[in-house]
Amino acid sequence: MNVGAMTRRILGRGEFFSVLVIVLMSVFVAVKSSAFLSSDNLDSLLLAVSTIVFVAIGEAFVLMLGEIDLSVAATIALSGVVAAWLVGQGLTPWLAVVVGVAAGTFVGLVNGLIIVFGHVHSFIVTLGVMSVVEGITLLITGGLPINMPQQVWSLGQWQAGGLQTPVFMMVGMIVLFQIVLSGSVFGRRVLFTGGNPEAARLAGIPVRSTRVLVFMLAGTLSGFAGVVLAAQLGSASADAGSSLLLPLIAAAVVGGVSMLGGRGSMLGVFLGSILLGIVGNAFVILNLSAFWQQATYGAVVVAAGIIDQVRQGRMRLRLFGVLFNRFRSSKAGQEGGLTDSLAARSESSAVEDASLGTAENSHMSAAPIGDSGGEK
Amino acid sequence: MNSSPVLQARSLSKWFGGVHALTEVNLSMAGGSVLALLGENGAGKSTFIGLASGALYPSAGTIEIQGHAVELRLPADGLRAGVAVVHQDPKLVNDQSIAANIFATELSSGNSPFRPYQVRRLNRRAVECLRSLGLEGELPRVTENARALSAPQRQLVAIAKALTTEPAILFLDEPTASLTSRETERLWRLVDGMRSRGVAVAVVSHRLREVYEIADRVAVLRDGRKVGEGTTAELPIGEAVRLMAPTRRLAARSEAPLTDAGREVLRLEKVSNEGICNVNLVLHAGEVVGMAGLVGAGRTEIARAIGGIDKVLAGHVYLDGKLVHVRSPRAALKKGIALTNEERPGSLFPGHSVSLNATASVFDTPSALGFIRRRLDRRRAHDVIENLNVKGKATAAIGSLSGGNQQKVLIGRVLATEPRVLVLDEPTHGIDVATKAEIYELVKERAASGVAILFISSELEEIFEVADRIVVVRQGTIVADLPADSDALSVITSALGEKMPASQEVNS
Repeated sequence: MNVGAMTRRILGRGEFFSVLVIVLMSVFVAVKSSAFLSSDNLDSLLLAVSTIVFVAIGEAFVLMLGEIDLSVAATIALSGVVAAWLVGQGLTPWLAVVVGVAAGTFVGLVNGLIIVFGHVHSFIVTLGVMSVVEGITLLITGGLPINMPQQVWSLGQWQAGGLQTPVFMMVGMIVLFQIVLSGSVFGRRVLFTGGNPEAARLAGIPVRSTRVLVFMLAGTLSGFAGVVLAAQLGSASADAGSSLLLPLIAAAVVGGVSMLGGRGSMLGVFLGSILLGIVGNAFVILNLSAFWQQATYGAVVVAAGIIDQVRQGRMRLRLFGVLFNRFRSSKAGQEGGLTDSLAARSESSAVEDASLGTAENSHMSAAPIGDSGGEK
Repeated sequence: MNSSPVLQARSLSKWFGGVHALTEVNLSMAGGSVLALLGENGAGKSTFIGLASGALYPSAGTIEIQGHAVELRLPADGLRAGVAVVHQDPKLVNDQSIAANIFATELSSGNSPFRPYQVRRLNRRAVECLRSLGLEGELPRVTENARALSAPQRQLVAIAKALTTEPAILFLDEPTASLTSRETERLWRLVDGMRSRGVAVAVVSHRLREVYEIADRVAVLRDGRKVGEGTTAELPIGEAVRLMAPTRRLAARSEAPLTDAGREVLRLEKVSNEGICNVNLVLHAGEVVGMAGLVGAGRTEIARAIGGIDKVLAGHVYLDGKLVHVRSPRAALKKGIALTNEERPGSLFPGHSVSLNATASVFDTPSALGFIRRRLDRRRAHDVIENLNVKGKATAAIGSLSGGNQQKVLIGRVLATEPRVLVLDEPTHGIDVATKAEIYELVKERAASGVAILFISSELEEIFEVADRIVVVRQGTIVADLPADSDALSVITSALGEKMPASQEVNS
């Protein structure tokens, strides 16, 4: 494989953009502030990213179905609060944690059943469920944080080599769910169902149970993230996940999960989460307004959506080629040169081909002229 | 009419990535003349149409329309230059009325978006338009949504839509693929009308005999190059086929159908649902039953009921003599009933590889604790590619394959489930001659190994080619059960439910 082909392969990978942006941003922030590269900061960055990753994995599966789950962030708060509250009611701490996670699973189950059997769009269902879950969480807490018992703090605070438990869990989750996605029956069913639901049904894939399971998975992972977050902070509060919805959807989309369903990788989700984590961290480090942070998250989601479309070739750079060519040919027209406009045309088609990411322009434009000589 | 070409392509070339879709093609179309554009799948016909209509931009070469070089960068440029295209799978706006679809181009360009949209006037004009084309009896009311239309009806709306722009050049890409012979005849009358008005028409079709009825000239493409051109007299069908695929011949019709059908495998007794009524049908092991009928007669609906896609609301289905209730395609597959869909895109997983598509119905059985058995999966994909002679790598994206090869992958997918009942709904729709022949061979081979096959087709020729028995569907039920050596006229007569004038014996 020559260098050109390899470059194109790397460029074609969904993860390339994430890595590029991560590197550029890290360099930028590190130059601006030496605090960025301090081990304390990197630890807290990874810790913040881990919560995003847990939930973004579930959201990624939902997006791969071509659906969306807006209730995941609310579920983070619910599960932590349920676990902490149950301990207060006298339940064994570890059992309370399990029930907290199960509360997340239950939210996912409700979402899934309504979406699949009620044929209601996931956006509407999960938007409503988000509000219901937020309400219930507030009812339980009365708006005040609830302490998590010390017995379960290790879930979020145990350390090894300066890194806390959630960071290790995050790595484990990424590996586990990449294997699930690419190697398990469930993973492939998700890809098929998201890629073309009708074709999946015709091919004999249990489309409905797959969809319900995906929503349950998203709920469970949010629940997991919620109890880990509560253990890490030492207390559960109703607003625990409220600021995470946008970044975690952004993380999945930035990570190359197609919002139209059928594609995605967990490595991409990981990188996407890191990217969003760095954005969040940069605002703290550089002492910028949190209002700008919110605006930036929004912009990143939209940008990721656009990049997704460009990658799929739905929105080719061809558009730019056309504009460029209009400009060129109008200039050529003024100069009155036919050769110029011909040159402009071949150039524009080169731009178009290059945008496909596979073209080898120089060798191609020579070939047809060479072959065609004999035929005429 | 006038002899100067309306459209002239000079050294037209197009390449996608490293693939040369069209190479140095010189082609002209004259006003008042019909050109048949022939070639196997992937020969470059659709690319040519794309270039001439502005959907694609040439990599090299020029296009002249009415003697002037034109730059067609967008389909709208093509429309302005007088080029209209009717695509194989017409793109209609499902949630808009038929009338709005017919006049969609008027709404798109050259008009103020704020001009009041006069629905009633639009509907009236749509009715007039359809009447002038003689299509009013073929379609539901123009206020109906396009969603409700069958494939051939969509085709007719697309044709009406194309003609509203009063094009000087009209391309018809596989217009007859989903039409019955009667509808084809009506289409040819329309084309003839266009011709007498001086329009330059080009028709792409795999049904050579049909297209030769209407065409004045023929151009043959192979591997992106023009390999022959002439009048229909200069280039008769046999010669054109030889040029399209020089190494192969048309498959000769086999004269030895399997005579002794095996035991009964599937029996439908008075099966009814929304689309079908009191269907009685028996399939035997080792037997190919050809299902004929007009489009919209209910053939696909019967297939869907057998395959568990649509519910059976009344009647009984027996498999091996036992009453069964097939509630989903998954249940059908588990029972050994497999079906390939009429619409190919509806069965593919776009963006995924050939191998993933090939094993989509079997990848989960058997699994190892919920994980896919990779080696088994790979071997199965390999088997599909080998056994069906799919031209494409296992890792290639399914979308990069030609239609014929995609179809082979889909047939391979259902064969991998080792079905005992195989329902093929229009398996050769829009695919090239050589691949069709391969599919016929495959069908016969599978039947010989004991599978009961229901072969649905709108092309009587191929039903006679593969079937041991022919059933005819009309108005949602089976109206005739004929032996394979019946004449075409009796099939057509039952399909139409009336005596046919001898002049309309198109497919015999």
